[in-house]
Amino acid sequence: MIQSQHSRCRRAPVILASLFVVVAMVLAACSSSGSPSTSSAPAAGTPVHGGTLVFARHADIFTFDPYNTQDDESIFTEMQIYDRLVALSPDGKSVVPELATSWSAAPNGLTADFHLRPGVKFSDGTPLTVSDVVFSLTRAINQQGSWGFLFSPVKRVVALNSSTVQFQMSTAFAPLLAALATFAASIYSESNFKKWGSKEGNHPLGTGPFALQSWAPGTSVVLVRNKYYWQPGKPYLNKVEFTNVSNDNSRVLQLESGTADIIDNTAPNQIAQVKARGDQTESVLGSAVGWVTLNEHIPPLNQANVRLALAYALDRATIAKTVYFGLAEPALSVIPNGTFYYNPNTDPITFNMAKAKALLAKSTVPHGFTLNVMIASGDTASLDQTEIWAADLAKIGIKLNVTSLEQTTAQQRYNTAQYTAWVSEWTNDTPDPDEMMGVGLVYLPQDALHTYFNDPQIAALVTQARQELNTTQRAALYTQIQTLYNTQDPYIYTVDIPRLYASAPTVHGFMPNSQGDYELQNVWIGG
Amino acid sequence: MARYIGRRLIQLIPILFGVSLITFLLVRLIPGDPAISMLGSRATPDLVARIHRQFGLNLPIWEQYLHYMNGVFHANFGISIFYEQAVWPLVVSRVPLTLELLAYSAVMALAIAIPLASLAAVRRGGVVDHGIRLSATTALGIPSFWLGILLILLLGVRVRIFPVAGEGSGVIGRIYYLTLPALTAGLAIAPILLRTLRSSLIEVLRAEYVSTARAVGLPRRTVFRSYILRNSIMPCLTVLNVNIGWLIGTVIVVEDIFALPGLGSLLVSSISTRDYSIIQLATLLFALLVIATNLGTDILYGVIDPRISLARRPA
Repeated sequence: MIQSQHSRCRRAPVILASLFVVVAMVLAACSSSGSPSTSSAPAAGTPVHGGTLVFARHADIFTFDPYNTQDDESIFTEMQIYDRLVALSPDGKSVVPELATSWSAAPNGLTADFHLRPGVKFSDGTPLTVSDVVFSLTRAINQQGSWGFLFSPVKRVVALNSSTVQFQMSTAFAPLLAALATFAASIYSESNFKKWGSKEGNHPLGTGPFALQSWAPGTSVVLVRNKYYWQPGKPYLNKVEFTNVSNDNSRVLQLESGTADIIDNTAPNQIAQVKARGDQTESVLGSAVGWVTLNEHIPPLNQANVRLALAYALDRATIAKTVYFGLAEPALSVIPNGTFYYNPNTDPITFNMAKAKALLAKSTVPHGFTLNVMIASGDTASLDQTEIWAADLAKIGIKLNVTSLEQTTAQQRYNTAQYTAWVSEWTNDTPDPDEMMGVGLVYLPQDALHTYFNDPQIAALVTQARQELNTTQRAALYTQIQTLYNTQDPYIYTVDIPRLYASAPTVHGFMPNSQGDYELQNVWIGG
Repeated sequence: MARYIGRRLIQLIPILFGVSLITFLLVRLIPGDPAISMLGSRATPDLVARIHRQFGLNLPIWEQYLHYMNGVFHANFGISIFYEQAVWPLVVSRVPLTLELLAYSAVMALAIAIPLASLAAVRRGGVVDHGIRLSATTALGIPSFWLGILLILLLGVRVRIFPVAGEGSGVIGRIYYLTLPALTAGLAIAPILLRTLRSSLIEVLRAEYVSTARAVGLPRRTVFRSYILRNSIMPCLTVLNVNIGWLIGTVIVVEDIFALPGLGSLLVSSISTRDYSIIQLATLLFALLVIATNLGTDILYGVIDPRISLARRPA
């Protein structure tokens, strides 16, 4: 029910035009996972206007400027303040209109035109113009920025007339639509940006449901209702206060005491307690998948049989059940299960000790070896998971030597390839598989994410799929890549990891999407 | 007195200089730098190099230090790499809350330690004494991060007497909001004070002037307050002073549990992000705080015990 209420807002006058749009359709082939699951009571009754929502989060934000944004909390906050040309649908499976009402691409894929929604205003009442859109997106596609890679073939963004912007590309670029739904493609006011100069990051002005009232770094971010918001009747809340509560236990206690209405990053082992007290929990799968990344420069990891043996010996179902208390799902592909073109039916690697043993027997280390595994300290889930894995690996003679290192130290070791195996996770910024595959399965620009995986056939398919505008053919290419992947396995996929939120029973309509957009315009407080 | 304080203040300079140098080198010795922390797996050599250039991290370390010191002499403590703001207002705005929490914790610790120690000393060897000493030893073993959560659970969630988070406004509001955090930190240090105070009380109780005072027929209460407690409190203050660093450590943990935006929580989050400028300034301020507390205690000695003359003491 939350879902139906949710989609109403985005239905709008929609004309899904041309090839790009069909991106969405192909996803029929996708599995049913990836949509948020929730234990919330359905949003019964009529939404009530007013009230302040206190949202306790585990970390502070750093900026409101999408160009300089690096962390999730800043991203999720920007999603509330700015709109984008398009948005991810509530079920996470397609792209729907936001500030653009329709779009079309040239048959050769080198240009794409987006038609702007008329009558949209910024939260200060000034109208949104085509030059704001061109200005924001020209910054977004700048290859000097850390998010420019999401738009790499886009050469420029131009205004065709007062209500149409055109993207001009060097090659056909199928992931464009998904990339435009990310925070990095947020639209903001050009005049406001120029007024604040280098301080723009502290003075956002967007067309989103909420506007910034105040930000005390380290303490709280207060947003107020944008009274000029283009979706009629929304948002319902007068105010949203994001507070910074880094301690996991403290957040749960704040929810229980009524200090906070919603909390993020709920520890999986606390979900049962939260539910028992009558609070709601929201588990959003779809954008993150656990990986054990392997460095192929370290023998015997250069042999596919060894990598596969390690992967087949991983008991994903037990990990999902015991480490994540059933909130995670065994992974069936290297991409998160909410990614477009995710295909679980590509002969995925599942727990099979006989197969692991047989594969190892075909390698140069048939009786096993010692594998050094690096974990970020304090990451208990990874540690527990590794213990389960180690017990099974011991049965085929593989010994795990686990090292815990502080997060940034571990990251540095990984980035400089001073690691053998690293327990980590991949998180999508865009729902398009090209983001992960473009860096993870091709050798350049980052040595296939420091695995040194180098398979010309897969790399060629990734490039081909990026330029394939026909969604049916694109789906076939990604199925082929995922099938080939399961015979190579540079990253051992473990489980699909959820984002976990908990909320008070008085909170209605809270349904964050797999990209992390809280969609607070649909949230109301009552009863 | 003024000369003494002046001399102590001059001594501050080399200490702060040393602290700044050590902190500067230490943060750069930890593997992983701000660019890595910021970009994570997206840290391509190009992007890392750009961030290094932007914040001068590509320069030789001695040159970076010169730039830093040059800034410090111009009251410019640098830019936060993550917030992209000057660190001075960012860090200094956090100081009052931490100072208030520290002071309140110290008061709380003394408020717990003094009556209990007095009781234990007077009833030395009895059940009460053993009970108090056993509780103190137990309390010493309770980690603050656990005690804080427990106090929130009991007094903030089950029985809603105290707020579970926030800093409150106004004097009364601030005291009310900081009570649980201060109690948590105070309980961490109270057992140490209690033990010191108890043993010095016992020692003073045996002193001849106490016997004399009693023999003269002064009321018991007067004897205890003016003769015994006043003479015993000195070692207690010394112990509090020595343990100020530990109290600061506890307060950092407490700030995290109670979601208090103080200097400690900022330092912790900045260390994990490797926000060098913030770490440097916050550490410097903490060092300054410890030194100031030491100086303050020395001055207080003179007030409590007139026999101690600061000016004549070899510094």
